[in-house]
Order: sequence, then structure tokens, then C-alpha cells
Amino acid sequence: MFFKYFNNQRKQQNNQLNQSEQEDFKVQLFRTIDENIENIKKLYDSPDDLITRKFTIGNTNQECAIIYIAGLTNKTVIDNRIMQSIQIESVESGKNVEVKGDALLNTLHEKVLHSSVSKVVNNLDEVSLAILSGDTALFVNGTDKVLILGTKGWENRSIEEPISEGLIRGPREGFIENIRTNTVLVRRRVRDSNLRFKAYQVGRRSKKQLVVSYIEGIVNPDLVKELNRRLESIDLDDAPESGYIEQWIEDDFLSPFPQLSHTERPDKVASALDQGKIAILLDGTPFVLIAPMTFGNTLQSPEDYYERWIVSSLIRYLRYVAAFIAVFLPSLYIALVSFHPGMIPSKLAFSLAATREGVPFPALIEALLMEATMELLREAGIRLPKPIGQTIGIVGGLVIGEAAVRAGIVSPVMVIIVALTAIASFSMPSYGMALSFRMLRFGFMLIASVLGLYGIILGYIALNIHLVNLKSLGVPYSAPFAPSFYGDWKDLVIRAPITMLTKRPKYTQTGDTERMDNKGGNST
Amino acid sequence: MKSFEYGDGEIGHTEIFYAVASMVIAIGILNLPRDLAQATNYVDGVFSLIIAGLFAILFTWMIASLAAKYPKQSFYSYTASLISRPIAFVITLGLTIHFLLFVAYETRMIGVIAAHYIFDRTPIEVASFSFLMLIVYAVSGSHVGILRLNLMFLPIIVLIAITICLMNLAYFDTENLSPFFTTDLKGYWKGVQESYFSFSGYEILLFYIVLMNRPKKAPKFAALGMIIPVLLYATFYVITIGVFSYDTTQTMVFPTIELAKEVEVPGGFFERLESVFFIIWIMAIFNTAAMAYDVSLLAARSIFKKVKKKTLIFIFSPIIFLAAMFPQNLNEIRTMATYISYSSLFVVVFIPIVLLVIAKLRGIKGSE
Amino acid sequence: MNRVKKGFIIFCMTLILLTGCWDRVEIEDRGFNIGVAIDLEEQRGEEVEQPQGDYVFKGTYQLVVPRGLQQGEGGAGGATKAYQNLVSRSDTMFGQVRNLAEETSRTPFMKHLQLIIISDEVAKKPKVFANILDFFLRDHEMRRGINVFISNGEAGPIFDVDPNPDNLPVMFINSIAENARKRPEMLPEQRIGDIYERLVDHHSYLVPQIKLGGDNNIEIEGAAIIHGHNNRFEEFITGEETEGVRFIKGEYDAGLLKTMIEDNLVVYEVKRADSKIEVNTEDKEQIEFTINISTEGNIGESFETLDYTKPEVMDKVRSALEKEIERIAQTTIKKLHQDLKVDALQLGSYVERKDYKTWKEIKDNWDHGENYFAKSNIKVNAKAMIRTSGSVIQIEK
Repeated sequence: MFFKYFNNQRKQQNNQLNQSEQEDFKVQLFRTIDENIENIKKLYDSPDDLITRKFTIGNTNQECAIIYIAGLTNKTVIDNRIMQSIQIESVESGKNVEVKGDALLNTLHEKVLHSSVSKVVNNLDEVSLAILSGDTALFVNGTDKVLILGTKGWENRSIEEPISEGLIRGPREGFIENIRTNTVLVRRRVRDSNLRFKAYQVGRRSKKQLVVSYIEGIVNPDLVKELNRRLESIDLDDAPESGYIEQWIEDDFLSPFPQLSHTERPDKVASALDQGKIAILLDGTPFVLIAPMTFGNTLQSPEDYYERWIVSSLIRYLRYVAAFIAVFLPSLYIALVSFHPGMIPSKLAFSLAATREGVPFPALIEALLMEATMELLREAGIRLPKPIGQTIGIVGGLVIGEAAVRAGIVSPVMVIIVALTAIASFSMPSYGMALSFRMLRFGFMLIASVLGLYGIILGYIALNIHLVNLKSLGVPYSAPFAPSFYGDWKDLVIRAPITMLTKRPKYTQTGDTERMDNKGGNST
Repeated sequence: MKSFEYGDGEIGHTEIFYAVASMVIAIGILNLPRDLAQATNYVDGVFSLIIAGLFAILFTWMIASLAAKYPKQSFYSYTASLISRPIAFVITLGLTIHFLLFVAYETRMIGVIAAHYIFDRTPIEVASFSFLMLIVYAVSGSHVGILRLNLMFLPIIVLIAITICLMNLAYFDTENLSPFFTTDLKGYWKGVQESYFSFSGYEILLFYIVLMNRPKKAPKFAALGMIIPVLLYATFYVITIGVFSYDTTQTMVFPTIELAKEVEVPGGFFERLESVFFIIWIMAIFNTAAMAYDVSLLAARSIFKKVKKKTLIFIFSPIIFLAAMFPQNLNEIRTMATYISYSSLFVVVFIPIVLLVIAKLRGIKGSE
Repeated sequence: MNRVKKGFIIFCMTLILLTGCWDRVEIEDRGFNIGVAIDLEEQRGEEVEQPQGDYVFKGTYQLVVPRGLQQGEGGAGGATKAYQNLVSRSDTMFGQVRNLAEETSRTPFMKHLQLIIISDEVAKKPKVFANILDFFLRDHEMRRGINVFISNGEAGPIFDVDPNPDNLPVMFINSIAENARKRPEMLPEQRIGDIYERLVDHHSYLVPQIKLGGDNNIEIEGAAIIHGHNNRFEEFITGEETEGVRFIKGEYDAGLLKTMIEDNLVVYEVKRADSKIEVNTEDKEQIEFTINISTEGNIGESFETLDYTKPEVMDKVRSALEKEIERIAQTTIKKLHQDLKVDALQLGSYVERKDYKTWKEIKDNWDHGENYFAKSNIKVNAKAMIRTSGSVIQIEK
């Protein structure tokens, strides 16, 4: 409700702005080159990376001009393929370049230039967008049509191993900032004629390219429709990162949990597509969004499928335990130490009491102190250059912990608890979920310090209430536990052998449910 | 916002199965062994318990088939078509109050047990109030959400129950069970009564079957769902008697919690299992209370169609809290429980039978 | 609006939760009470207006001093003792615990209580034993696994025993009590939960005996007989009689039996023992009990040179062993059945199970009043099985 209101307001303001800017230049194309060049220069306010080159074709006096932005284009292509073709080849091969205006443009387009990516456009918006995207515009005197030549080419980061999702076993490729490369990476993994890339433009000003990818026939069409509806509603100035898109289309903005997962790994995207999910790629970021997601997904890593099933299942359990520790351990410690020491085995209780002897703070303050320090260290480690970052970790972890214990500010057990919690939250495969867990941890610590274990269980129930009401793109977040799809459990409770994972997940309600022949594998 | 069919308003038979089991498993088991042991001798109570369980399963089946006869029709609407609008109005209103009292009772019991086993100085009011707030949060979500919570909690609850039973096997003394069949018939009957009351709660089916996508399956799965608590309670009873002997069971306030207390986890992180047990049991009680509240909202909304759900919650919650805090001591709470049980008996036995008979006589068919 | 309301509810909840933390006491501020010893202080004579009990008890409470448990830290300063014994006097247990708060800076905390020792002097007073345990059963803080002992002599000083190599005397006593599995002369630990059952069903029962030996040592051997109908302590039985009790009740875990074969000792190591008790209730005036004890074990030591491969030798040893077991059981039965006439073996419960009708009639006069127990007959049959004779047949030839 509030959003719509704000949106309307913003729209009105934007319209006003656009109108005022439009006074300087004309939103149209002219028949003479000079006018066109002047107009476009005005449009961009003559930046020094806007290259305009006027020339006449061969020995005729046909005036032409190319306009492009330096750096966004591949200069070799422009020089060798465009300029050379027009100037030399056209004349030498005796093609008819004597005609004028439209006819000349067509000749150039159809006969002279051997660029596979080229098109004729006749409005300024498209010309402008093409120039800004790294294409070259060829103007010919005497026509208001413009030939757009594909000369995109700028420096890209090479394809590297993704930093945020390391694997021991698995492909080493990660997405990069260029959406073309990214779609290529996806296509190379899903060689299916039903793979669809649906393009959108996002951003009122920056007009970022956004591609929605799914496999027709597997994906539930309702999901695509719903996603389409949400994407259409996006009204942003600019989307520098897919996080903007995520936050715009998520179901519940009050929720502590991420409702779309993001990844840098093409293999993860490929397997998600295969499960009937939808990937959202945005130009300018290596992070691809995957929707819908469920709570169970956050504790899974692609490597689960690459290793043998027994190992993978056990590692999954390890992660479940880690998730539990990451959220509940400090609050359990507080509850047990401050409220229910009777629940701790006697000998442990006495030694806990001994270690806490002389600590001036109650357990809550002690825990908050240490957890806050931990968070600080983590934040500092991310911001600093890598080599120093690691040092900070060691200095902070060891020195501060040790010194705090020596000074009697915290008890040694607390240091163990905090360290364990930190390690557990580092082991989460999904960074977004790890962030949520960090946040929830503090909530549980506070409630544990008021009502002890009773508070923790109330908090746990509240969290579950939230989970069952939460949806990701209309799919219940708590699926396939509740609602139960027992068939999906073999990829959740355990990671069943690949030969047994014959069905696609039910919660995505796919069109084609069979993943392989029921008899699959050699294991018969 | 359009979303998936299963994500929205409909439930399947699994949800009904879990709902019945979760609704019934609650406070009842905590003091049932004592009441039963007072009525019967040695382990004979288990026979009463099973007889009562069979009755409960039968009634569950009856209620479910009544509600399933009128798919996608609310209780109020088909009752109104059977026995005139004003009577239906009164009955539905009565049910609303019945379920509200149910919530109040559970809320109070949570406070009582928490104050006894977990807290020392924390007032009962605080424990109860925070619990009630949690229920309010739950019911302000969707109906389906509450039914789904059952799916998440019930396995944990059954697991802890089984753990307690298994760990008590070390203290289990088969000699405590015999002699068999020493109780007189009157004792058995009293036992049936006592245990029947602990099986109440499945009247929620009258309202929840409306949400089902294929109501024809409801009676079967509701009855199956009822089997879980019957088996669980019977196991608990036998274990309690085997561990404590029936004389001792009679003298304990909450024998089931004492059962958890008996266990000592060797080398475990938790030494006192009764706190863990009770903590987990809060989930069971929560499920029951949340469903009862949810159903009372469903009932109230079917007769006051114009009132918003939020408004009803804001009106009901203070009433529940006051009702929960009204009894002064355990005995008065028990009296309250007895009243609820009787009204439950009326709801599940009298109303459905009358309605079924009238439906047969007047030949009004649901839109099958 | 929906979300705003939801937020509002959550906000309200947090506000209420923030108003106080009633139960928070940090672990280092708790005084962990791990053991209680009850002695008799005085007997009240004259009537006073204020309600009060007949006896005033002196309770010795052992509290843990966690600092003393820390190792290495104390250094040369002389290690602090890991425990502190506080004495509190009152006519009620609750009063005693309340009084404790005056003496220590820590809040007394009973959830780790593990041991209750009651002196024989206290237990001799009728009903007092049960009255003392009432508090420990009623209070929800108490666990059901608290070990209960009756001390021969004063109970308080037992808590000053030298706990080497442990730190805490209470823990020390409990670990010794656990050794009952290996020492048949000790009665298996009696948990307060077990005694609670006896208090309810009024069967007589046994409580392990604890005694301060010379040299600041403790001895846990033998047991105290408590009469079920008034919960009064009757008499101690010796270690050997306790062994008999364990044979009869089938609680014998492991131990050794010595027997004489031709003036030389043969030692039989009992690996497993079991007992079956049969009841004949045809005549309630003369109920017959038949106790069948069967044991399994090895020859552990043999001073007499015997060829154990020969069946007749085995038979001889076996019958000697069986006689020995019967002798031990008979000693116990003589003490309990003929001398004291108290059914501490809980034979009554067999009658109850076998013939509920008869039991209902005689229940109230079982081992007191009419005392049907004393009128009953008890027979003992023992069976010993020798599984192996060890690695050697005979060491001399």
C-alpha cells in the first residue's frame, strides 16, 4: 500500500524532470548529418569519450559519419571492418555506392558491411541506447534512418572461480559482470532447445539488461507469469546489483530470511533450472538470482551432488547441526547458565561456575560483548585487503579472546561458545542465510536472557509461524516439510543416491516430473 | 497476488491427519496417568484407555463424515440448512465460546507448569501472557499456516515422547504391572471417562474440513490421526505404571513429567530431561491452543460475516486472558477442564448424531 | 496495514518481555548444594503456642566452592577446599534451607543435590524418616536420583571425610556407592524415587548403611531395615546378610564365594545370579515361599588340587557351592524372618501379584500386628553352574 503511494509520487517527479531536460535537444532524427551529430552531441552534452567521425565514401562525395563511445567499442572492428569496408572494398568491388540517402544506407547494410550484427533504426531513443551499449551508429546524409553496427567490446574480467562459493569438487567457472558471457555460461550447461531467455530492461535511467531464464516444459507457467508480473512492476532508477531486483520482487520485506537465493555458480543455476526454477540474470553483476527458494535449499550446496551420497548426506546433517549452533548456541548458554544450571550435568556445572568466578558481567552482557567483537572482526576482515584481513582474524580471534579471558572480563567457556558459533555460521553454504542467522542469534540471546529456555522455545515457535506463512514467489517457504511432499524428502532429509532421485521436486509443481528413466543408473 | 493452489487456502488429507493428532496431544497426557491410576488398579487402566480411544476414533470418524458430507460449506451454513438459522447461530456461538475456553485453559496450564518446573519467581501471568501473544501471532497468519505448523512440530513431539519412554525402560519393572484385571467394572467405566476427556479436541474437524480439497478422504485420515494419541497415551501409561507402580502414580501431580525427571542422561549435555520434555511439550500445547483459537475465529467469522478477523482477535484475546487467570488454584483449573470436557462431549457426540439423523430424515444431500 | 499491526503486536510482546528477568541468577552466584546429612539435635518437651515439630534437626549441608575445583590456578597459596559444610538447625527441612541463606553469600541451589544421609538416631523415631524425605520429594527442584543412606552414628561428620582422589566428599561417597555392582556386601544405591514408591505402598525396605570408620574413612556395607508401616528404622544388617538379601532378590551382580573342599579353599566367581520366588497362598495363615537362586560363574582360585575335567569333581564342587549359597540366604532369612519379623525382602509383593484377594485381606497385618509374614514358611533352593574352571585344569599333578 505504502509502496504504491510512493511509486506514484516518484513517477510524477520523474516525468517532470524528463520534460525539463528535453528542452535542449529534439527527440527525432534529421535528414542531414550535421544536424544529427549536433543533436546527439547535445543529448550527451559533448563528452570527450564520444567519438564522431565524418567522412566521405571513397571518391564519391557521399557524406557519412560514425558515432560511438570510446572504450565501449572494439576499435579494431570499427577500423578494419567498418571504415575499411566502406572506404576501400566498396569502391574496389564496384558496388553501387553512387546512390543517395536511403538507398545508400541499404546498400551499405546489405552489401558492403560484413558485420553480422547490424540493423537499421529510425528513432533517436534506439540510437542513443545502442551508442551507450557500445554499438556504433552510422549516419548517412540525406536519410533519417541510422545503421547500427554491433561493435560492442570492452574489457571484461576473465571467468574465474567464484570467491563467495568455494567448492573442492565442481566446475571452477563463475559468472562475471557481462550478461552475454553469463548467458553463454548457462547455455553451455543446458543444451536444451527449450531453454528460454526472456529479456527485460530494468532501470528508468540505466536501462540494464535483465534476462529471465527457465526451461519451457519443466517450469510451472504460473511461476513465470507471476515473476513476469513482478518484474514488470519494477520501477527503479538503476539496478547496480541483483540485490535491487531481489528486494523489489521479494514476498515479505519484514522477513529476516532471504526469499530468493543468489549464486555465482553456473552449475548451480543449471541444476536449479533443471528443477523447474527460474534464474534471473542482470547485466553488471555476477550474482544470479534463483526463484523460488525454500528454507531447505539454503542448507544445500552443489557439492552435495558431486560427492557420493553417504558422504553428502552426512555432511548435510553436519550443516543442520551447524545451523542449529549458529542460531541457538549462545542463547542456550545464557539460558542454562543464568536460568537453569540444574540442567547442566553436575560436574560441568561446577566447573562452569568456577570459570565464571570473578567475571563481572551477567552471561547476557558477556555474550553480547563477545558476539559484538566477533561481528566487528568479521566486518573488518571483509573490508581490509585480503592479506591483512587474515591477520585481523588471527589477531582478533586469538589475542583479544585470550586477553579478555586473562583480564577476567569474559569466561573461557564463552570464548569457546563464540568461536564455535562463528565457525558454524561460516559453514553455511548460503551467505544470505548466514546473515539471517547472525541476526536471529541476537534476538534469541535477548529473549533467553528474559525468559530462559521458555523464551527460546517461544521464539522458536514464533520463527516457525513466520516460516509457514512466508512464501517465495508464491511457493511456501517451508516446503517440502509443510506442506509435506514426502517424495522430496529424499533430497532433503538425506541426499539419496543419484539413481534414486528420479523425480523433480514437487513443490515447484513442474510440468515434466520425471527426471530420468525410473530404472536409472547401473545399480540394478 | 496469485500464488500456487497448494500454497493458498487448501489443505490435503495429511494436514487433517496431523491436525487431529496434534490437537489431541496436549495437556491431557501430563496428568492422565494419575487420574487413570486413581480409577483403576495396576495396569488395568490401559484397557479403559484403549476403550476410550476406540470411542474417540469412532466419534472422530463420525464428525469427519458429517463435515465431509457438505464439502466447501461452513459448519454454520449446513447446520442452518438442516435446523434453521437461529438454532445454528446459537450452536455456532456456543462452539466459539467452547473453543475460546479451551484456549484459556491451555494458556493457564502453560503458566502453571512453567511456574512449577522451569521458573521460580517469574509470575504465571507473564508465562501465560507471552504464550497467548504467540498464539495471537499465529492466528493472525493464515489458517493453512497453523495446520502446517503441526507438520513441523508433531514429529518432534512424538520423537521426544518416544525418547522418554525408551530411556525409562531401564527403570521399567514388569512386576509393577501385574496382577491384571483386578479392577471392578465401575473402576473401568470411570477410567474410560477420565481417558476420554484427555482425547477431546477433535471437534475442530467440524470447521477444518471446509478447507480440504478432497473432503472424501477426511474420515479415514482423521480416524488414523486419532490413533497416534491413543497409542502414545497407552504407551505412556504402561511405562508410567511400570516405572512408578500404580500406588505412586496416584500421588503425583504430573506423573508424565516425573517420568521425564526419572531419567538421567548419562554424559549428556542436558541432565534434567524434564525441562527438555516440558519445553518440547510447549510445542504440543501451542499447536492445540493455536488451532482452538483459529477454529473459534472461523466459527465466529461464519456468523459475524462483516467483522474483520483482526477485530475479532483484538476482542477475544483479552477475554481469553481474563478467563485463563480466573481460576485460583489447580483444583479450580481442573473444574474448568471438566466443564470443557463435558461441553466437548456434547459437541462431538450429541450435535453430530442429531445433525446426521436430521440429514437422513430430511434427505438433504450436500453438494456431493 | 496488516504488516503494521503485526509489527505492533511483536513490539508489544518485546516490551512486556523486557520488563523483568525474575529468575535470572548467574551460575557463579548459586551455592550448589550437593549433599545433606541430618542429625537429631533435641527433642521438644513442653507445648508452645507456635506450631512446631517434635524434633529439631541439625542439617549439615555440603556446598560446592567452585574456585577450589580449579586446578593449577591456586599455586603456592594453598589450595582452597572445594567444598564448604554449613550447619543449619530447624524442625523442618524447608526451614533449614532457608536458614542457609543467612550463612552463605550464595543463593542455595538444590537442583544438584545428590546425597541424603540420615542418622540412625533420627530414623529410629517413628515416621520421621518419611517426614524428612517429604521436602525432598515435594520440591520440584529435586531430582529423583538422589541417593539415600542411613548412617551408623552421627551423619554430619561423614561430610568431612577425606575425598582423595576426588575433590568433593559427596561425589566421593556416591562413586563408592556405585561400586555396589562389584561388592555384594553393599546394598545397591537406593534412589529417593525408589524409596518414594515404598513410602506409598508401605512395604518394608532396606537403605544402605554408611559408617565413619577409623582414619577418616567411610565404610559402606550392610543396610538399615526400615519398617514399612511406620517408616521406622529397625536395625542394621551386616554385609553378609546384605549379600543374602541380594541373592534372594536377584540383585546380585557379581562377587565371589568361598567354599571348603577337603580343608582347602575353592573360590567361585559369580558372573550372574538370578532368583525366582514362588508363592503358595492356599493357607493365608501359612503362606509358603520358595526361593530358587541360580548362579553362573567360574572357578576363580583353587587351593585344592582337583581335576575339573571330571564330572564328579564338578558335581562335588557345585553341591558345596550350593550349600554355601543356601547358608548365606538362610542367615539373612533367619535375621529378617525369625528375629525381626520385618519383610524387608518385599516378599509381600509376590503375594499381591499371585493372589490379589488374599493380599487385600492380609495387607494391613502383613509384617506387623497379626504378622502373617512371620507365620509364613520360606524355603531356599540354590543352583550353581560352573561354566569354566579357568585356563588351567590343575597347577600341580
